Amino acid sequence: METVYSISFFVMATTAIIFAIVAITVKNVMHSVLSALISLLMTGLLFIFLGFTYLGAVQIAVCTSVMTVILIFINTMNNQNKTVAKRKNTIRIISICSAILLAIFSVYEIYKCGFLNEFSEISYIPSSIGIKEFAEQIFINEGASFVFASLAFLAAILGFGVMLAEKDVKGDRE
Amino acid sequence: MTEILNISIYHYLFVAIILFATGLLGIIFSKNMFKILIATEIMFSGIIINFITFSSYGSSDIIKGGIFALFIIILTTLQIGIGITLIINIFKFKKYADTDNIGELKG
Repeated sequence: METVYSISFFVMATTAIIFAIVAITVKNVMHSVLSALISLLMTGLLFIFLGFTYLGAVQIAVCTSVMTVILIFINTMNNQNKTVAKRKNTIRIISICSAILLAIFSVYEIYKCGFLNEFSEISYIPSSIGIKEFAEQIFINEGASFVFASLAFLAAILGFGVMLAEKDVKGDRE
Repeated sequence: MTEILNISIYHYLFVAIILFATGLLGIIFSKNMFKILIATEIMFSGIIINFITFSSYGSSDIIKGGIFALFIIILTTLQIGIGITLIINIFKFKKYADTDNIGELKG
C-alpha cells in the first residue's frame, strides 16, 4: 500500500511539473491552457493525497472552470470558424471529465465519513479532513475573512458580467 | 530504494518550489497576457501546496493551512476573472493580447 502511494505521488508530481513547464514554453495559447489544466488537476490530486479532500475537489472544480472560461475567450478572440467544432468537443470532454471526477470525490467523501475512519491511523497517509471540520473553521473562527472574500468575489463576478454586457452606445444610436 | 519511496515533507516542498519557479519564469518571460495569467495560476498552486504540506506534516492544528489555502483559491479565481476582463477590454482597442503593444505609460 505504501509503495502504491509513493509511486502514485511520483507519477502525479512529475506530470504536474512537466505539464506546467509545457504550459509556459509552448507557443500555441490553446495548448498552453490545456497543459496548465492537466497540471492543476494533478495538484488537486496532490491536495487529496495530503489529506485535504475537500480542497482537492474545490481546486479541480475551480481550475477546470477557469481554464474553460479562458479557452472560450481565446476561441472568441481568435475567431477561427473552421476549427470551432473541434474545440467545442474538447471543452465538452474536459467538462464531462471534471464533473465525473468531482462526483467520484463527493461520493468518496460521503462514504469515508461512515466506516473508513478506522484507517486514519495509518502513518503514511495523513488523516483526512472532512467538510464538517472545514465548515466549523470557516463559519465559526474565520467567518469575517470568509464573508469579505466572498463579497469581493461576488463584486468581481458582477463587474465582469457588466463589462461583458456593455454595448457600444454610438453603434446603438446609429 | 525504500528510502526514496518514503514520501516526506521535502518531496512536496520540492514540487511546490518547482511549480512556483515555473510560474515565475512564465510571468517574466511570457508576452501573451493569457499565458501570464496561466503562469500566475501555476505559481499560486505551488504556494497552496506549500501551505497544505506544512499544515499536514507539521503542527497539531492541521486545519489552519487548509483554510488559508481555500482563501488563496478564492482570491486567485477572483484575480483571474479581473485579469480576463482587462484583457478583453485591451483587446477591444488594440486587437492584440501581447504586452509589447501596451506601452502608453512608458516614461
